[in-house]
Amino acid sequence: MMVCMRNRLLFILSLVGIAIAVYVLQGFLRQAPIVCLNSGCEIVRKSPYSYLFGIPVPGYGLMGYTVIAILTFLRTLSPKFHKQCLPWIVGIASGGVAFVAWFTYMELFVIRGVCTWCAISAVNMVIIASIAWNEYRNRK
Amino acid sequence: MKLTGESKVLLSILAVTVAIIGGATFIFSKPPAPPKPIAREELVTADSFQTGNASAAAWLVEFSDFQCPACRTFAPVVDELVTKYSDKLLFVYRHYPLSQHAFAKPAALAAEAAGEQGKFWEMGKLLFENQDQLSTAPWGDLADQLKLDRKKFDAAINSDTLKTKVDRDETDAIRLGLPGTPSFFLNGVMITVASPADLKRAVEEAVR
Repeated sequence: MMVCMRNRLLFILSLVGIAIAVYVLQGFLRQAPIVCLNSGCEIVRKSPYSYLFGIPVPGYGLMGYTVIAILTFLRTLSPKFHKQCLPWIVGIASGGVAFVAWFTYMELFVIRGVCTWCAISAVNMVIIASIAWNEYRNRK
Repeated sequence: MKLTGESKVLLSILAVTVAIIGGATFIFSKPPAPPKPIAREELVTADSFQTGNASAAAWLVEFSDFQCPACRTFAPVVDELVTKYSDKLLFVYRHYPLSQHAFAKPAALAAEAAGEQGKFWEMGKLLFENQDQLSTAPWGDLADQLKLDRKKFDAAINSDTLKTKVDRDETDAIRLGLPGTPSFFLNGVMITVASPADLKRAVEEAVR
């Protein structure tokens, strides 16, 4: 039951991540202002680091969260999938944590502006990775 | 493959999320009213540094911060536009030293102090070029590079007059609700530019 709730939580958090990534990405693509708690979102968006290999940074978030959402859904289909998908979720979430750690470092020390949505998304990814790691460590 | 009870729960969560986001998008997606231009005299303050044609129909005001990396990225394009359309465009530089940039205000004062000796734009260029060294407070060295009168420069950089001017620009930027730096007003309308290419496109359209 606990495992089931954890998977649900992973699914909900990945949907939250998708919603944030879609919102910020549409701001990039439509060049529409991004509603932000501070001036950081515009500072970050206008910086050269907001595009990585020509792809807007929220695009990577969207990819990562979408794959995690799909994997958490696949886990509900059969006990076999439930087991097999977990290492993939752990791997992708860990990659996500490494990515948000790098981007947060860039925001703080290079861009010198913190985008509220990026910060929320970073915390979200850390929570997802912690839950996934916890389940992986306690797997039977 | 047959859906389990838990799969159905997740699909329901997905459906509810999509419905909430879809509803919110529909409610908040009313087309915004076209922005009202801000009067020229409100944005183009008489004592701000300007270049180009003062009587040109097209005018561009930038609120900028010498410690802001994005402003540095935009600076070459601003220079290019100012040179290319010197007869068709008026460009006005105003300060918006962001609070998170500890050296932005002294840098703005250094530029203003150089401006007292007719070297505002040259100092601005040097400040952007030396953006990574602003923490060393290189104001005096930069003034020497520009062969400024150091006595006058040092007095000006510490003067209340210039501080009041920079503070006035900052207050205006906050009052105008600027989202950050650089912020551009083209013919009184704040333009959303994600890249220097966007700025170039918007200005070229306005001067045509």
